[in-house]
Amino acid sequence: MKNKNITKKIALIGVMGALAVGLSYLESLIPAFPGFPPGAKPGLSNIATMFLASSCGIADAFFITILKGIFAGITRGFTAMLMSLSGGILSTAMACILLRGKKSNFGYIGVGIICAVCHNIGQLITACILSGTWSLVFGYGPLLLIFAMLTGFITGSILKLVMPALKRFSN
Amino acid sequence: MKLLKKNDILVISAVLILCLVLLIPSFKKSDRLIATVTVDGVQTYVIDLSSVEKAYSFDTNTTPKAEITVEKNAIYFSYADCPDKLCVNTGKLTKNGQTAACLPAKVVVSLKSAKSDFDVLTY
Repeated sequence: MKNKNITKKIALIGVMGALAVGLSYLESLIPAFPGFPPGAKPGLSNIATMFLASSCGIADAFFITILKGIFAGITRGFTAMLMSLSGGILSTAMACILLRGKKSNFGYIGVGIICAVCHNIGQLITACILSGTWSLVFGYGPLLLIFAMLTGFITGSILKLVMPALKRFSN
Repeated sequence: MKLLKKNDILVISAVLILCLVLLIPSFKKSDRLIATVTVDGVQTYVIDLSSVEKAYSFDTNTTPKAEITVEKNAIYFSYADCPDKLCVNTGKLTKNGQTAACLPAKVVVSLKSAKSDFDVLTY
């Protein structure tokens, strides 16, 4: 019985990993929109990490996050890898803190927004360190925060919708 | 777990307030537009965009290559040798507070407004 559970878990993490990587690749194809911060993406792969953080384990969620970072590094270069990892790790850590507890004080939309905001803050800090210019906080910060709210709202709502189905699949 | 809880609304308002606070510097209005180009954390070029008469381009001498074009009241990355081209896709910067960055080349262009008695600086 225990072996069967492990097999199921491996399969689940495989599917989630494929989903996260596939979604983040699809997002990288989105062209730059006027008015939106360049390189901003909906962060749909966050759904996979948020689900893993809430239903599987902290290690699994971080594993997928790091996998995503390595994938970004292979396909889009070293800077993209650093950006993906810094944002991803901060947002996954936040998802673990918010979703692992027995009773959460936040709804799905709140968790989605907090994760997206943390993702963008992590990336902004990395961008500042990489460029050595802290004025980026004022130049990009407000736009990134607004965008994070929008995408966090979307990913949180999607997570709420797919959660029952995913729960059935993973139990 | 519900979709939206009371705390979620608190989070949304907190983020909105933070947004407005960060926007304060760019509300300042003035008649002159100054572009600063920072390369690897060092302020390398300061260009008064209001006094540019003829458009020109220059190379930042970085690896990967990045080329910046200056026009009257506008500045933008016209070419970059990096894979993502985020800086080029940012488009023209024309307003106070706008920023474009090329992280692989460590070049940041940001716009500030200045009072009209600002010394005219060109590179």
